[in-house]
Amino acid sequence: MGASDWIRWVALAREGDKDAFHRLYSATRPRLFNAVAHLVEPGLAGEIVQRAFVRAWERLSDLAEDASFASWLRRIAVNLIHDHWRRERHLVEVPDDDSTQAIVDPGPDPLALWESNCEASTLRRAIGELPPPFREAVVLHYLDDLPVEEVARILDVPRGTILSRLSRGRARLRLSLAPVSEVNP
Amino acid sequence: MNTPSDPLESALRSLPPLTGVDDWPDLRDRLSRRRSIRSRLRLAAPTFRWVGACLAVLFAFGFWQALQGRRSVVASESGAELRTWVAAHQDAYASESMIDPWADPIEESSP
Repeated sequence: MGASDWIRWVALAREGDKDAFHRLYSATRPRLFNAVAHLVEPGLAGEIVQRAFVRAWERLSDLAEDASFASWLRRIAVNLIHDHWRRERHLVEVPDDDSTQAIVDPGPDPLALWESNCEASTLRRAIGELPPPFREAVVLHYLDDLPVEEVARILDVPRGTILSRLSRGRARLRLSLAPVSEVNP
Repeated sequence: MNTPSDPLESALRSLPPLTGVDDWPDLRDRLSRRRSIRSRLRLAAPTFRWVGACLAVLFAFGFWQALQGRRSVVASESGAELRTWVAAHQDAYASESMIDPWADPIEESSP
């Protein structure tokens, strides 16, 4: 789907064309679901994705650049997730630096013990245990394959903050996965 | 520090995606139930314009009617006063043709 297609489908959807919106849905839903499913409980991901599309449909006229629909939609979904976390009293704020200073990303494990043995479910569980700010940075950058600048735009924080959260997220993941790698050399 | 060959980053990037299920029928139903307020307003705009124009005409007509009514009240009051004055003048003139009915009030009011 080229930029001109996005522009065309968004323009048609804005006029109320549900077929055009269906095309946008089909093109963006799988990746959006993958990101959302790693940020909230699996049972809730589908509902948040649907609500994100409903909100997008209602506010299509607010979209400044028609070609950036996917990014805009992701921002809507992230806002819905933040609302959910606030309702559920999750800790949305970044953990205190003092307590995480000790967790410095040591870089690649020289032995790469878990490189091939780390099961997807284990890695998903470890991601799910990350504090929300680290989790969303890791998910959007690595799993959703978005550049750091795009993640910063979506989360509305400076680029340096994203880099820091990614580094600290990786450090926590290494700690969390270490026992597994020791068990499964 | 974290090169592209970092096994953790590689593992994260190669994690099989969770795709969920395509539930377009559910979404389409939701969209049908919830049209945007803006699009509803946009659709209803001609109706609003008609209603607004009708209300403006009714208001203008009512204002004009009220103005006319006020004028007729003033006119009828003025007419009644005139008739009373003429009748009094005629009565006074009939009883004594030389008396001016306004002479007394003028005398009373003069210092």
